[in-house]
Amino acid sequence: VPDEEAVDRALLARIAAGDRTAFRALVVAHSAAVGRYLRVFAPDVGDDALQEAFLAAWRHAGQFGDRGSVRGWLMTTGRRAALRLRSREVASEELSSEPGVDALGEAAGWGRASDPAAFARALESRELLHRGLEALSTTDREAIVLVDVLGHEYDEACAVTGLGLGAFKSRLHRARLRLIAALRAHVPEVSHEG
Amino acid sequence: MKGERRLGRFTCSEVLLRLASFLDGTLPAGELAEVRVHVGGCDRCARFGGEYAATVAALREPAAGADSDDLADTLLSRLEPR
Repeated sequence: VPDEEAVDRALLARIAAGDRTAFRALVVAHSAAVGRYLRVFAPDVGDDALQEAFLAAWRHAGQFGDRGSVRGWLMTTGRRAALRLRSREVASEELSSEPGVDALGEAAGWGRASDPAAFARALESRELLHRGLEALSTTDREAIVLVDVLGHEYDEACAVTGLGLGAFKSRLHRARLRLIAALRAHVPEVSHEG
Repeated sequence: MKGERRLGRFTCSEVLLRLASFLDGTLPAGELAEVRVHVGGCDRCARFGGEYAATVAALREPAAGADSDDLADTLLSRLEPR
Protein backbone atom coordinates (compact mmCIF):
# COMPACT_ATOMS: atom_id res chain seq x y z
CA VAL A 1 0.00 0.00 0.00
CA PRO A 2 2.96 2.42 -0.13
CA ASP A 3 1.68 3.45 -3.57
CA GLU A 4 -1.54 4.82 -2.06
CA GLU A 5 0.52 6.72 0.49
CA ALA A 6 2.64 8.23 -2.28
CA VAL A 7 -0.53 9.32 -4.10
CA ASP A 8 -1.94 10.87 -0.90
CA ARG A 9 1.27 12.74 -0.20
CA ALA A 10 1.36 14.08 -3.73
CA LEU A 11 -2.23 15.28 -3.26
CA LEU A 12 -1.27 17.00 0.01
CA ALA A 13 1.61 18.78 -1.70
CA ARG A 14 -0.78 20.11 -4.35
CA ILE A 15 -3.37 21.03 -1.71
CA ALA A 16 -0.70 22.96 0.17
CA ALA A 17 -0.24 24.97 -3.02
CA GLY A 18 -3.97 25.73 -3.14
CA ASP A 19 -5.07 23.11 -5.69
CA ARG A 20 -8.82 22.54 -5.26
CA THR A 21 -8.93 19.63 -7.69
CA ALA A 22 -6.45 17.79 -5.50
CA PHE A 23 -8.58 18.62 -2.45
CA ARG A 24 -11.63 17.10 -4.14
CA ALA A 25 -9.61 13.98 -4.95
CA LEU A 26 -8.58 13.67 -1.30
CA VAL A 27 -12.21 13.94 -0.16
CA VAL A 28 -13.37 11.36 -2.70
CA ALA A 29 -10.58 8.95 -1.73
CA HIS A 30 -11.07 9.06 2.05
CA SER A 31 -14.41 10.51 3.10
CA ALA A 32 -16.30 7.20 3.01
CA ALA A 33 -13.94 5.34 5.34
CA VAL A 34 -13.20 8.29 7.64
CA GLY A 35 -16.91 9.19 7.76
CA ARG A 36 -18.01 5.69 8.68
CA TYR A 37 -15.53 5.66 11.51
CA LEU A 38 -16.50 9.11 12.82
CA ARG A 39 -20.23 8.44 12.62
CA VAL A 40 -19.73 5.40 14.82
CA PHE A 41 -17.34 7.12 17.18
CA ALA A 42 -19.67 10.09 17.63
CA PRO A 43 -23.06 9.59 15.94
CA ASP A 44 -24.30 13.01 17.02
CA VAL A 45 -21.41 15.03 15.58
CA GLY A 46 -19.70 12.60 13.20
CA ASP A 47 -20.68 14.40 9.99
CA ASP A 48 -19.55 17.77 11.33
CA ALA A 49 -16.30 16.25 12.54
CA LEU A 50 -15.74 14.76 9.08
CA GLN A 51 -15.99 18.21 7.51
CA GLU A 52 -13.69 19.65 10.17
CA ALA A 53 -11.08 16.97 9.41
CA PHE A 54 -10.96 17.83 5.72
CA LEU A 55 -11.00 21.58 6.34
CA ALA A 56 -8.06 21.08 8.71
CA ALA A 57 -6.32 19.11 5.95
CA TRP A 58 -6.79 22.10 3.63
CA ARG A 59 -5.33 24.46 6.21
CA HIS A 60 -2.43 22.26 7.33
CA ALA A 61 -1.58 20.22 4.22
CA GLY A 62 1.87 21.79 4.12
CA GLN A 63 2.70 20.66 7.65
CA PHE A 64 1.92 16.96 7.30
CA GLY A 65 5.60 16.01 7.30
CA ASP A 66 6.22 12.38 8.12
CA ARG A 67 3.23 11.44 10.22
CA GLY A 68 2.27 8.00 8.96
CA SER A 69 -0.77 7.52 6.77
CA VAL A 70 -2.81 10.43 5.48
CA ARG A 71 -6.04 8.55 6.20
CA GLY A 72 -4.88 7.95 9.78
CA TRP A 73 -4.16 11.65 10.09
CA LEU A 74 -7.67 12.50 8.85
CA MET A 75 -9.19 10.04 11.32
CA THR A 76 -7.17 11.40 14.23
CA THR A 77 -8.03 14.98 13.32
CA GLY A 78 -11.70 14.07 12.96
CA ARG A 79 -11.67 12.26 16.29
CA ARG A 80 -10.26 15.34 18.01
CA ALA A 81 -12.87 17.51 16.31
CA ALA A 82 -15.64 15.16 17.46
CA LEU A 83 -14.42 15.32 21.04
CA ARG A 84 -14.31 19.11 20.82
CA LEU A 85 -17.80 19.26 19.31
CA ARG A 86 -19.25 16.98 21.90
CA SER A 87 -19.69 18.01 25.49
CA ARG A 88 -19.52 14.48 26.85
CA GLU A 89 -16.07 13.35 27.87
CA VAL A 90 -15.08 9.98 26.45
CA ALA A 91 -12.05 9.38 28.61
CA SER A 92 -14.14 8.91 31.74
CA GLU A 93 -15.59 5.72 30.29
CA GLU A 94 -12.18 4.11 30.23
CA LEU A 95 -11.41 4.44 33.91
CA SER A 96 -14.26 2.41 35.35
CA SER A 97 -13.13 -0.86 36.88
CA GLU A 98 -12.80 -3.46 34.15
CA PRO A 99 -14.17 -6.95 34.64
CA GLY A 100 -11.69 -9.70 33.83
CA VAL A 101 -11.62 -11.51 30.52
CA ASP A 102 -12.97 -14.67 32.19
CA ALA A 103 -16.06 -12.85 33.46
CA LEU A 104 -16.65 -11.26 30.06
CA GLY A 105 -16.16 -14.62 28.39
CA GLU A 106 -18.70 -16.28 30.67
CA ALA A 107 -21.23 -13.56 29.91
CA ALA A 108 -20.57 -14.27 26.23
CA GLY A 109 -21.39 -17.94 26.68
CA TRP A 110 -17.85 -19.30 26.92
CA GLY A 111 -17.98 -22.71 28.58
CA ARG A 112 -21.73 -23.03 28.23
CA ALA A 113 -23.60 -25.33 25.92
CA SER A 114 -25.17 -23.54 23.01
CA ASP A 115 -26.71 -24.25 19.67
CA PRO A 116 -24.13 -23.23 17.02
CA ALA A 117 -26.78 -23.05 14.31
CA ALA A 118 -28.88 -20.63 16.35
CA PHE A 119 -25.86 -18.41 16.97
CA ALA A 120 -24.98 -18.48 13.27
CA ARG A 121 -28.53 -17.36 12.46
CA ALA A 122 -28.19 -14.47 14.92
CA LEU A 123 -25.05 -13.35 13.08
CA GLU A 124 -26.93 -13.22 9.80
CA SER A 125 -29.14 -10.48 11.18
CA ARG A 126 -27.58 -7.09 10.43
CA GLU A 127 -30.12 -5.63 12.79
CA LEU A 128 -28.97 -7.75 15.73
CA LEU A 129 -25.32 -6.95 14.98
CA HIS A 130 -26.18 -3.29 14.75
CA ARG A 131 -28.12 -3.31 18.01
CA GLY A 132 -25.29 -5.17 19.71
CA LEU A 133 -22.79 -2.54 18.56
CA GLU A 134 -25.10 0.26 19.70
CA ALA A 135 -25.21 -1.20 23.19
CA LEU A 136 -21.40 -1.00 23.61
CA SER A 137 -19.51 1.93 25.08
CA THR A 138 -18.10 4.44 22.61
CA THR A 139 -14.54 3.20 23.01
CA ASP A 140 -15.49 -0.49 22.70
CA ARG A 141 -17.54 0.22 19.59
CA GLU A 142 -14.72 2.27 18.15
CA ALA A 143 -12.25 -0.62 18.50
CA ILE A 144 -14.57 -3.07 16.73
CA VAL A 145 -15.49 -0.63 13.98
CA LEU A 146 -11.87 0.28 13.26
CA VAL A 147 -10.57 -3.27 12.94
CA ASP A 148 -13.48 -5.63 12.32
CA VAL A 149 -15.94 -3.48 10.38
CA LEU A 150 -13.63 -1.16 8.44
CA GLY A 151 -10.61 -3.47 8.29
CA HIS A 152 -7.91 -1.09 9.52
CA GLU A 153 -4.54 -2.49 10.54
CA TYR A 154 -3.60 -2.40 14.22
CA ASP A 155 -0.98 0.31 13.74
CA GLU A 156 -3.58 2.64 12.25
CA ALA A 157 -6.11 1.83 14.97
CA CYS A 158 -3.45 2.47 17.64
CA ALA A 159 -2.53 5.81 16.08
CA VAL A 160 -6.17 6.91 15.99
CA THR A 161 -7.04 5.83 19.53
CA GLY A 162 -3.71 6.77 21.05
CA LEU A 163 -3.30 3.31 22.60
CA GLY A 164 -0.32 0.96 22.49
CA LEU A 165 -0.74 -2.35 20.67
CA GLY A 166 -1.28 -4.43 23.80
CA ALA A 167 -3.84 -2.04 25.26
CA PHE A 168 -5.70 -1.76 21.97
CA LYS A 169 -5.88 -5.52 21.43
CA SER A 170 -7.06 -6.00 24.98
CA ARG A 171 -9.84 -3.48 24.43
CA LEU A 172 -10.77 -5.10 21.11
CA HIS A 173 -10.94 -8.57 22.66
CA ARG A 174 -13.11 -7.35 25.55
CA ALA A 175 -15.34 -5.41 23.19
CA ARG A 176 -15.88 -8.50 21.03
CA LEU A 177 -16.77 -10.55 24.10
CA ARG A 178 -19.30 -7.91 25.15
CA LEU A 179 -20.78 -7.91 21.66
CA ILE A 180 -21.07 -11.71 21.67
CA ALA A 181 -22.80 -11.49 25.06
CA ALA A 182 -25.31 -9.05 23.57
CA LEU A 183 -25.91 -11.35 20.58
CA ARG A 184 -26.20 -14.35 22.87
CA ALA A 185 -29.21 -12.78 24.53
CA HIS A 186 -31.11 -13.55 21.33
CA VAL A 187 -29.97 -17.18 21.08
CA PRO A 188 -31.89 -19.88 22.96
CA GLU A 189 -29.81 -21.96 25.37
CA VAL A 190 -29.70 -25.72 25.18
CA SER A 191 -30.22 -27.62 28.39
CA HIS A 192 -27.48 -30.23 28.07
CA GLU A 193 -23.79 -30.14 27.22
CA GLY A 194 -23.41 -30.41 23.45
CA MET B 1 -15.23 -21.15 33.96
CA LYS B 2 -16.85 -24.16 35.52
CA GLY B 3 -15.10 -27.33 34.41
CA GLU B 4 -11.97 -25.40 33.49
CA ARG B 5 -9.26 -27.78 32.36
CA ARG B 6 -5.71 -27.90 31.18
CA LEU B 7 -4.97 -29.52 27.85
CA GLY B 8 -1.41 -29.25 26.67
CA ARG B 9 0.23 -26.22 28.28
CA PHE B 10 -2.86 -23.99 28.46
CA THR B 11 -6.03 -23.92 30.53
CA CYS B 12 -9.36 -22.79 29.04
CA SER B 13 -8.82 -19.30 30.54
CA GLU B 14 -5.38 -19.04 28.99
CA VAL B 15 -6.84 -19.97 25.61
CA LEU B 16 -9.64 -17.40 25.97
CA LEU B 17 -7.03 -14.74 26.70
CA ARG B 18 -5.24 -15.58 23.43
CA LEU B 19 -8.26 -15.85 21.12
CA ALA B 20 -7.76 -12.49 19.40
CA SER B 21 -4.09 -13.15 18.72
CA PHE B 22 -4.85 -16.71 17.64
CA LEU B 23 -7.30 -15.35 15.11
CA ASP B 24 -5.15 -12.54 13.70
CA GLY B 25 -2.08 -14.75 13.40
CA THR B 26 0.14 -12.84 15.83
CA LEU B 27 0.57 -15.61 18.38
CA PRO B 28 4.18 -16.84 18.75
CA ALA B 29 4.68 -20.23 17.07
CA GLY B 30 5.07 -22.12 20.36
CA GLU B 31 1.85 -20.71 21.80
CA LEU B 32 0.01 -21.26 18.54
CA ALA B 33 0.83 -24.97 18.68
CA GLU B 34 -0.32 -25.17 22.33
CA VAL B 35 -3.62 -23.39 21.60
CA ARG B 36 -4.21 -25.85 18.75
CA VAL B 37 -3.56 -28.78 21.11
CA HIS B 38 -6.06 -27.39 23.62
CA VAL B 39 -8.78 -26.53 21.12
CA GLY B 40 -8.29 -29.91 19.43
CA GLY B 41 -9.32 -31.67 22.65
CA CYS B 42 -11.71 -29.18 24.25
CA ASP B 43 -15.17 -29.02 22.66
CA ARG B 44 -16.26 -25.97 24.58
CA CYS B 45 -13.23 -23.86 23.64
CA ALA B 46 -13.46 -25.06 20.04
CA ARG B 47 -17.12 -24.09 19.85
CA PHE B 48 -16.67 -20.71 21.50
CA GLY B 49 -13.61 -19.96 19.37
CA GLY B 50 -15.66 -20.74 16.29
CA GLU B 51 -18.42 -18.39 17.37
CA TYR B 52 -15.89 -15.67 18.18
CA ALA B 53 -14.31 -16.01 14.73
CA ALA B 54 -17.72 -16.08 13.03
CA THR B 55 -18.71 -12.88 14.83
CA VAL B 56 -15.57 -11.08 13.69
CA ALA B 57 -16.14 -12.27 10.13
CA ALA B 58 -19.79 -11.18 10.16
CA LEU B 59 -18.83 -7.64 11.17
CA ARG B 60 -16.78 -6.86 8.06
CA GLU B 61 -18.52 -4.54 5.66
CA PRO B 62 -17.41 -3.88 2.10
CA ALA B 63 -16.16 -0.34 1.52
CA ALA B 64 -18.75 1.94 -0.01
CA GLY B 65 -18.09 5.33 -1.55
CA ALA B 66 -21.55 6.81 -1.88
CA ASP B 67 -21.94 10.54 -1.36
CA SER B 68 -18.31 11.68 -1.48
CA ASP B 69 -18.87 13.97 -4.48
CA ASP B 70 -21.61 15.90 -2.68
CA LEU B 71 -19.41 16.23 0.37
CA ALA B 72 -16.55 17.49 -1.81
CA ASP B 73 -18.86 20.19 -3.25
CA THR B 74 -19.92 21.26 0.24
CA LEU B 75 -16.34 21.42 1.46
CA LEU B 76 -15.04 23.28 -1.59
CA SER B 77 -17.61 26.00 -0.89
CA ARG B 78 -16.27 26.28 2.65
CA LEU B 79 -12.55 26.48 1.88
CA GLU B 80 -10.66 29.52 3.07
CA PRO B 81 -9.09 31.38 0.16
CA ARG B 82 -5.38 31.02 -0.24
